[in-house]
Amino acid sequence: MDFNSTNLAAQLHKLCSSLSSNPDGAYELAVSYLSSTAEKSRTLQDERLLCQKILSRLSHSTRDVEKFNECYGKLKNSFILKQRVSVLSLLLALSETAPQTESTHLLFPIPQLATAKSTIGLSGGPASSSKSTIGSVSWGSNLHKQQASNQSLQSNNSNMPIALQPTELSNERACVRDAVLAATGVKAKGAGGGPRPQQILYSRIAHLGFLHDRLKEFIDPASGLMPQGLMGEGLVASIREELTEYYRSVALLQSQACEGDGGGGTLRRVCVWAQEPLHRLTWLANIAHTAHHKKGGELASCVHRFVRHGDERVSALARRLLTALTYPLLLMLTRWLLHGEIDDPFNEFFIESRSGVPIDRMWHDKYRVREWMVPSFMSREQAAQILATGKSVVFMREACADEPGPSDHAHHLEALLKSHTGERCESRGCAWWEAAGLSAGVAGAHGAAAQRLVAALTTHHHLLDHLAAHRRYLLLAQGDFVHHLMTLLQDELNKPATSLYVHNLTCTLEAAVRATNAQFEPPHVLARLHVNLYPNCDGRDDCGWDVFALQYRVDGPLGTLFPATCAARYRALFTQLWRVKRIEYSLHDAWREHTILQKRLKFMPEVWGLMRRVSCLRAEALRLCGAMQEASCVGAEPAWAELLAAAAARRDLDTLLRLHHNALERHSIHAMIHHTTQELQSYLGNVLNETLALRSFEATLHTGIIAELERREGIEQMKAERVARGEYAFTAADEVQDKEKRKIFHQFLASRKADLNVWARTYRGHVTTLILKLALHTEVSLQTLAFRLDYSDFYKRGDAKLHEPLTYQHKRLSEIGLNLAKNKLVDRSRKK
Amino acid sequence: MPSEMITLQLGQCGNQIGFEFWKQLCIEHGISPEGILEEFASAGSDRKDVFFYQADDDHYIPRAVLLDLEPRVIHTIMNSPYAKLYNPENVYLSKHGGGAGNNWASGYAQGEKLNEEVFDIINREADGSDNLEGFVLCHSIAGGTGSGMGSYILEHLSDRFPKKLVQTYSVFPNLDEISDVVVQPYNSLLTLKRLTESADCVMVLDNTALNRIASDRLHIQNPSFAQINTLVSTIMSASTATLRYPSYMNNDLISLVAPLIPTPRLHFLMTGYTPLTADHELNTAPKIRKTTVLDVMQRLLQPKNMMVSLSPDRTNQHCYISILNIIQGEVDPSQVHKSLQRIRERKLASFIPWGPASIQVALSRRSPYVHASHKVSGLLLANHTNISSLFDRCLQQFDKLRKREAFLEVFRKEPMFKDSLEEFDESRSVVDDLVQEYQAAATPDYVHWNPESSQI
Repeated sequence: MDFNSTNLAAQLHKLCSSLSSNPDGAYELAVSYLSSTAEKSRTLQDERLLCQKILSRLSHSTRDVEKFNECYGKLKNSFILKQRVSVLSLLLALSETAPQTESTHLLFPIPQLATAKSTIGLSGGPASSSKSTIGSVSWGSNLHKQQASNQSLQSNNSNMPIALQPTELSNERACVRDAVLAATGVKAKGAGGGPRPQQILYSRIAHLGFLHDRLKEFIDPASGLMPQGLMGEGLVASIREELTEYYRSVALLQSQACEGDGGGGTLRRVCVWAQEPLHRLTWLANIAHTAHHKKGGELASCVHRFVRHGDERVSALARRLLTALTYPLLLMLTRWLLHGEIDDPFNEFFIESRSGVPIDRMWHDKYRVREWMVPSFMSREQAAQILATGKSVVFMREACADEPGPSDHAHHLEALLKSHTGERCESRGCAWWEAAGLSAGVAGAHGAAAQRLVAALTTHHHLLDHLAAHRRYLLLAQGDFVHHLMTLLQDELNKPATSLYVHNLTCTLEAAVRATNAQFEPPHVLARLHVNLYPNCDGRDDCGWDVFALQYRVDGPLGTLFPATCAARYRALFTQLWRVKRIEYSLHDAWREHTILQKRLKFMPEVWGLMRRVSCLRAEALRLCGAMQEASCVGAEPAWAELLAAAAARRDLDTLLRLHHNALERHSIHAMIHHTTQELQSYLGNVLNETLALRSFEATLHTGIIAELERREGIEQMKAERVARGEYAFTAADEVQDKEKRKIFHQFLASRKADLNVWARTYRGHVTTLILKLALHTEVSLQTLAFRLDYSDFYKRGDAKLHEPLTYQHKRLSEIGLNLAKNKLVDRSRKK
Repeated sequence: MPSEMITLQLGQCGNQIGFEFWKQLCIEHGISPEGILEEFASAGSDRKDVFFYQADDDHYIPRAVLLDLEPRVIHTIMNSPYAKLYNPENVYLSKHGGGAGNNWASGYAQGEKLNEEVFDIINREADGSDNLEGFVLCHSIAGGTGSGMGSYILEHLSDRFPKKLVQTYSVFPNLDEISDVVVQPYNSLLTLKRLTESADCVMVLDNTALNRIASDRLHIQNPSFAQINTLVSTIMSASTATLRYPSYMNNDLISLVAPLIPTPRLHFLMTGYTPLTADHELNTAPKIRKTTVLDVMQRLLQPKNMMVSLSPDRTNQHCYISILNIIQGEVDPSQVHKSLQRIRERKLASFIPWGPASIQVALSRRSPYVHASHKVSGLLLANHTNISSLFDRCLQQFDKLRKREAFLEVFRKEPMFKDSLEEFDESRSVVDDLVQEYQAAATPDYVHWNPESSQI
């Protein structure tokens, strides 16, 4: 020691003088440094202190303390281990550094070809039994590591099963060498020799080599089997890591089995050692095989399949691989969720961005989930939520021009990421992709982002107002406005379509707004309400009514909610509803004209009958219009109510879009312009056309009657004047003329009457067909409309077709009944 | 504002029910008795302008004209908290203030005399509106002012405003008790003629039924006028609900009445309302009853909830010409269809044989400012052929008096009847025709029906 120290001092001095310009100072410093560390270690050399330290570390478990004391007693009595202090300090150091030194993993068992009585079996664990040494090696356990590092092949082991003969021994040794080489895929010549049991053992080990080659091929870029992309690289890297570990293990094996003096390794021992690597390499090869040519989420899915494997070891292996390979996915995911950006050079992400999508279709078409790329550990709903979250972020940035500051959904993501980063140093925790927090985090982030988006749409862009306005103006729910607009437009729209100008109509629209409750709408609603004309291209002579439409222009972010397709549906709905409304309006007009005219007809009893008949038929048509509108409003009402409630509750945009679509759909069905109601639409069209014909018929009739009335009043006046002048009131010539005129008038009435009879037959025919078709339609609400149109069975009495039980009443009752029963069942099960 | 309605209140009864009506409207629209919009009601989506207009200082003023020949009721109104609500220029009180003495002819004559002044007010009021829809006339047909002066105004409204609708809320006398107005049958018949010929839509409010409802349904012994009038104002406000709370349909008077009235003369509508709760019951023992759409719609078809008492007619198979239910409150639209189905299954209503008919249902909003004790309430407007029995009773009572030539002197004093009593006979034949037309409407060939007088 002394010699050593002087020697050391001289050496140190020499070193200092060669390295430093101030050798003495440096020497001092070096000595103080070295001595200080020596001091530190010296304090630790105190055995009692060490014991105390260990005890204090173990103090949280009395059992451990007891065990330690017991082992320590054994150690004291041990003859083999003399350097108790160093052993204890090593153990302490190991226990202190354990969390850090726990290297990536103990992938392959360190060869333990020889077993010894556990000399350091502090734990008294299973390692002390020779039988289970290899088999019981479990990965990542501290204790075994300690054992492993302290073990060495012992030649003089009493447990050696067979004492081999020298010749056999050398033969065996060669065989072992070959086997070990074979395990890394090196082909050995003449390895096939030897007795049969040996051959079997050899071939078993050599299988390792085969598997090794397969894996090697897989991770070799030249083979073309390597999966592509970042995630593929992740997989390759982790397989490579596994192989490295394997090599290490093989190297150790080699050093222990083949070198050294005795070389305790027998083929059988190597074979036993090979059990574990064989299992592992087999599964690695299996996984690699399924991963051929795959990439991205697909790759992740196929590795994830193994995570669910029943063998815990396989599942742990797969889990490790999956964690490594999904790391790029996590990065992409984070980027997408936080910034709405897609950084995906190899098209691996399960969300793709499509180019050339106009801004108003952004929400619908710009991003899409690649179904096959969704990793299997993620549900469809989650993928959709992730899509929506990122879209919301993009939408907020692009469309709302509202750069997200520290968005609230980041919190949820942070939690998600924390669990991941934590995972790297803590192997016992779950990986990010299997953490229970994933779905909660995604849902939370989605909820927060969606809420933010809808809140922005509602507060800055008045989503609710626009929704309501669409319904009020395009679907005519603002009755007073619609009625007044119709009153103001009536004369204008009776003109042919070609003589209409949008600017004239716009003035009328403004007047209608000013005069009705529409004036209380906020300016951002009124500014969007416009008049438009949509001339037909087929060259028909349309009147203004056919081409007129209200239009509600939405742009900017709201274009998403109401894209062009949606506007087209609204227009179709408007056209249909406006048409029915207009017909109803003109029938009201006719009713008013008739009531006014009736008061003048006191002395013209010959027209009473005809007028009454027209009036009754008009009432019939009016009732149909009313029932149609009632059905279409009431029928779609629940869907709209649901939408408005959801919008008020700020549900996410996708839900709102779905509900909006649904409401439009319901409304279309009830207005009979849905694609499932095309047949009905044409029947309804017939009925409405006939109704318009009645209106013009009535107009002709009224004009004729008024002309006759005025003629007769004129005669009366003339008579009075003549009498006043003292002339004859009525000459014979006058009388003849009057008779002639009356005759013409009566002929006029008679032909009107005939016309009316024809009309009534046609009209009722159309109505009957409509009711029949409605009753036969699969949509229950349309069946109920049929029921309401013929509530008093009037048409049924008139037409045998409606009598047939199978086609009408029977079907109607049975279907409605079925439906009711179904609803009841659902209700009951819900209650349960 | 388009589709405005001007209310004309005539005579004691008309002014009383009008007063209750305005009170109710003010409450429903959140307007204070002084005409100031309450703060809580400033964001309403209701249409106040149908019945009110705004003065320069934003006060809401009813489009109402108050007419009477004697001061009692108008004075009560002008001393009530609602005095400042009305435009004082629209309150017209005959200067001599002696009333019409329950004499139709006197009322009519005075109407003629005061015609310029009255129509000045009406014209001014009509000019003040954008697109006048029509007039609402509140009156009783039995007294002097409401019936006589009302008749005069009715006749001339259609002359002066030919394109405007005239709707009346006409209170028919209580036939169960002996009236102190002995000439009541004469008055009724003469007014009925005008209601038939000049009005476009008559809401028949039968005092007999109103009293019966007050005592049977509301358990009020000897109901007061005010209590009866509350019933009427409930009906009036509910029947105008769809005009005041716009939605898809029935937002103007014509769309409300046109489907109900298939031919111009059959324009006498019955009303029904349920559930009814009297104030005193609300205060003492609130009976909370479960109300559903089905429940309400079924009750509305029961005669006991009808505001018209009809006598059963064994010779004719009477039926509904049309029905409109205005349902207010929290209504699940799908309930409506279910109720309609149930009503048909149970055959609770029979309909005309000569054309299609159904129960129309209008779902209307309710005033958010009024606490409703029931979830759902409903008003029925119906055109029923058996309303002819009411006119028939009038005819019978008239005939009884006329046969005895009783109490005719008071009529002969007036210019109209000075020379002859032709007017009586003419009115009788008009009402008789009406009864026959209603009876014919219950038969399948109503469409081809021709009264003897109108054969070509």
